[in-house]
Amino acid sequence: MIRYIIRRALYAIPILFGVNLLTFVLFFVVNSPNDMARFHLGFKRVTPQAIVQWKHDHGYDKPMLFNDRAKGVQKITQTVFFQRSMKLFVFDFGRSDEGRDIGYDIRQRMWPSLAIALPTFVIGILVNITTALFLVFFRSTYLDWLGRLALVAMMSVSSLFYIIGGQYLFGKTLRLVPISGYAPGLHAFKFVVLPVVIGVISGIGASGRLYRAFFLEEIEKDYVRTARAKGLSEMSVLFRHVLKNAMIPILTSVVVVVPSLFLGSLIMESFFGIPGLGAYTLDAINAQDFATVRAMVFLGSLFYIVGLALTDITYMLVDPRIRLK
Amino acid sequence: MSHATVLEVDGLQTEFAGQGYVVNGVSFTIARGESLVLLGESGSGKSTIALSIMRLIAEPAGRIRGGRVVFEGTDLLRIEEQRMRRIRGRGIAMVFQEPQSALNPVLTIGTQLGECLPAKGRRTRGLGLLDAVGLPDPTWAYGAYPHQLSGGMRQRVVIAMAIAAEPGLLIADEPTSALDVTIQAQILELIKAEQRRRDMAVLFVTHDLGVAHLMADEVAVLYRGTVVEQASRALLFANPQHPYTRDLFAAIPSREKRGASLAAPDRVYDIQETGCCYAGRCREVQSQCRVCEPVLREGSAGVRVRCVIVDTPRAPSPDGVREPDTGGDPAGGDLLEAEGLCVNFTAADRIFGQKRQIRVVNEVSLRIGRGRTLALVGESGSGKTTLGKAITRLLPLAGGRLRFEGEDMTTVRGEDLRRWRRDIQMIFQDPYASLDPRMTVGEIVAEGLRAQRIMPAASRFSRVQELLRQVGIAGGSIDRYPHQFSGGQRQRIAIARALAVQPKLIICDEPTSALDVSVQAQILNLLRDLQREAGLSYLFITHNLALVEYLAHDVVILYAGRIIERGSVDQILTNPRHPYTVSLFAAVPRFDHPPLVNVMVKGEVPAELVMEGCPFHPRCGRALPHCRYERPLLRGFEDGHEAACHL
Repeated sequence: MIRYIIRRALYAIPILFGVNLLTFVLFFVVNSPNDMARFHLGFKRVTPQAIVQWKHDHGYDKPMLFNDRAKGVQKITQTVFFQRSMKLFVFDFGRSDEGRDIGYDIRQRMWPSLAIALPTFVIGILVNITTALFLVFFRSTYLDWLGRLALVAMMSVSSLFYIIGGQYLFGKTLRLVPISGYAPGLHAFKFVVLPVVIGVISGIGASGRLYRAFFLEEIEKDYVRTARAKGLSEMSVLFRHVLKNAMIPILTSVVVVVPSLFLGSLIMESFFGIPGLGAYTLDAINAQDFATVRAMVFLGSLFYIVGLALTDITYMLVDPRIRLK
Repeated sequence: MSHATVLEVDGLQTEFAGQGYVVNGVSFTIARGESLVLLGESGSGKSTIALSIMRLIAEPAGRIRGGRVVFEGTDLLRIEEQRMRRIRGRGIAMVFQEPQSALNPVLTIGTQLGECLPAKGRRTRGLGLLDAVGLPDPTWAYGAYPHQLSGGMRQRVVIAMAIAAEPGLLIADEPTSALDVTIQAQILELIKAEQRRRDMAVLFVTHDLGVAHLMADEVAVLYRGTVVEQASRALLFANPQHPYTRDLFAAIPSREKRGASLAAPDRVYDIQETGCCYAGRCREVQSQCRVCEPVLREGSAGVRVRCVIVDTPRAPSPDGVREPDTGGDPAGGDLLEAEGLCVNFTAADRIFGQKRQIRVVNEVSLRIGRGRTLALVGESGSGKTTLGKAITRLLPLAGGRLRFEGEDMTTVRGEDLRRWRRDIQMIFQDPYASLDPRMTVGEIVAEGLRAQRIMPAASRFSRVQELLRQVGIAGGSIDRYPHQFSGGQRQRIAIARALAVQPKLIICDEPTSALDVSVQAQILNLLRDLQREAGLSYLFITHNLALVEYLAHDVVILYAGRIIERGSVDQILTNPRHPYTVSLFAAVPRFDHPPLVNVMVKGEVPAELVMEGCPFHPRCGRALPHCRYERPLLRGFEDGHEAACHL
């Protein structure tokens, strides 16, 4: 088990390196450091000296990937890529191009992100499983048919509609919760309720249908027939036998996103004015802040890799047939 | 009805959407301590009857339409689901066909067994049950998950669950069809022992005449959802009455039928709207059979037959014309010689762990004569399929030499390998999986011609037509897809595909094990005719000893990747030398003659390969002390008869 985790961690290094390089190249294909400097200094009063000064201050005055004039190892180390991107591996995010401490910003902003993402995730799973079990219990009745129809309808509506509709109904008309904004501590509750509810509702359609299919697949299997032949009630069959087996595909499909919950949701946070990491990333993209974008992309890939490893470990925990080496 | 009647089924009808009545008016009774066997081929409705009694038919696709199922005085079809649930498991328990899937993979054996037991003293009773059904280490098994147990062990667990609540009736639905014969013998013995001990009634569902003979007091023969004949075991096996039953017996390959063709229906399912359900296939059909349906009539000595010609003395079913045994001439020379073949499997650690080589075929030498059939016999895990694939060079050889028509073929590659593949073709076990579902029959059969560049594309069409005709498939089928054919027809298409390149040797890997006996008879007849006409040689891989008796000239017995005995079919059958061969033959349930010796193999094939001594010594009843560390080599007895045993 520990050997397995170590091996996964070693695999992550080349992947993260590649992700870094790719982000770096893509960003500078679109932008040059000169463009960045002009953008940050304001387009109007830009002198060549100011650009050189800005590049020097922010560390963009070195060659991109390979330094011809340096000697030995410095050919590699004295470059923008090495100086700015490789430090991410020790979680030194450095300063943003605006001059702020990225690490500090992330630590501040991940809590509002989590306040939305975590409850949405947990409540979402519970609601989706309950919905699916309900439909399976009433399978091939009108209730099942109606339920499936409702799920397809819910799935077909854009999540933007739920957001705007929810804000209009609960925020504007009924005045139950604020339309947007955030406050720390316990006050956060009233700001968080609506995004969470909307996040859960917009997910039921797709996941509910998928989980229903997982359950139905299990219910066809021979061991369910064996369980019924023992004289177990439909409830015991569903909860003791079917649920436990269907949880294998369900858990393994959701666990991968667990680490990424820290990063928040771009859409939810920008619509509800939540000062989380999703909104942070979006702002950084708009501001062409390479340092911040790069840090967020790095974290995104890192969390995804951790998520994949967690998925494998979950597999092992829930399915006795699987043993990791 | 005597008071001892446990179950009375009366006029049971079960319908499946799109298939009509799968069970159509079936009646029978079972008394305490007695066993009734439902015997039938696929589609006869035998499993549906079992599930209907338990009321476990998957609704809404299937529905019980009529009849009564009276269990200990209660009509199960008229009670509430809640009362029915109390009868399941406690009154009537069931053992299923597939031990691989009948247990929940994520719950321990103990948990699943515990569901059948009261909470008080659950563990103690569970352990007692596991011990009673013969699990070697009940404490370990109780905490184990199903995948950690072998198929035979899992079936023992399923039986333990079934008998846990002391049911009055045990329904066993093909409980041994997925198991090896030596394990089958153990499981059948276990069911019989439990029946005797608990005085249970048993309803046993099977397609195997030998198993039926072993298990039955009374046999009901099913055909397309109706009982066509019911009689006591002795009467049914001594004098089968209904034409279907007689055809079934005639379709079984056996030693006595060597050289003769087997009775096989020309058409498999001729849907008959009115009249007798068997009229479409019946050899003795009369004009009235097509008009009105015969009733199940009481004949002499309690035999009930659904046929208009009951109790008319008749000649035994016509056996085919007996031709002289072909290929009987061993002087015809060897087509294929294999010497010391070894095949390894690489068990790789998932990512960069060490690779381990596991030798699954070990130093196997064999010869196949021109126009002869060599039967390769072994149970699952013996390496017989691997060996077949290695001979066609579909798997790499780790050692040994292959010679074909005297030429060394061990390392040929490229164009020479292509030529060699033309000479050796293979037919696989599962006709449902071995044909590409997206290719038409014509494309499947012509593919070999194209790959081998045998003939110009223009003339391929007529050649394909000719091949299909040869195997008995209508020429118009050329543009149809495999799923439009039955299992037997698909296996014929596979044979046509193999024949297309005019091979000299066909490796048949259990070609009939997925088929019904009457369909198997068709395929065997076809293979026999082809051998007689074209002088083909066969390497026939099988675990079915009746097939060996019927068609093999030479026999090789494989155990744990090694040859433990070989010889001509007569030598092996009349005078088996190796204890494994002896017990393998004894394990096959026979109705035509009693087993040669009554030896049951103990235990199962060990999970770890036996590295030292005789591979069979842990299970051998006659093992000597030095069998444990000294590996016996093949040594000769009579002319060409060899066995690897110290005895």
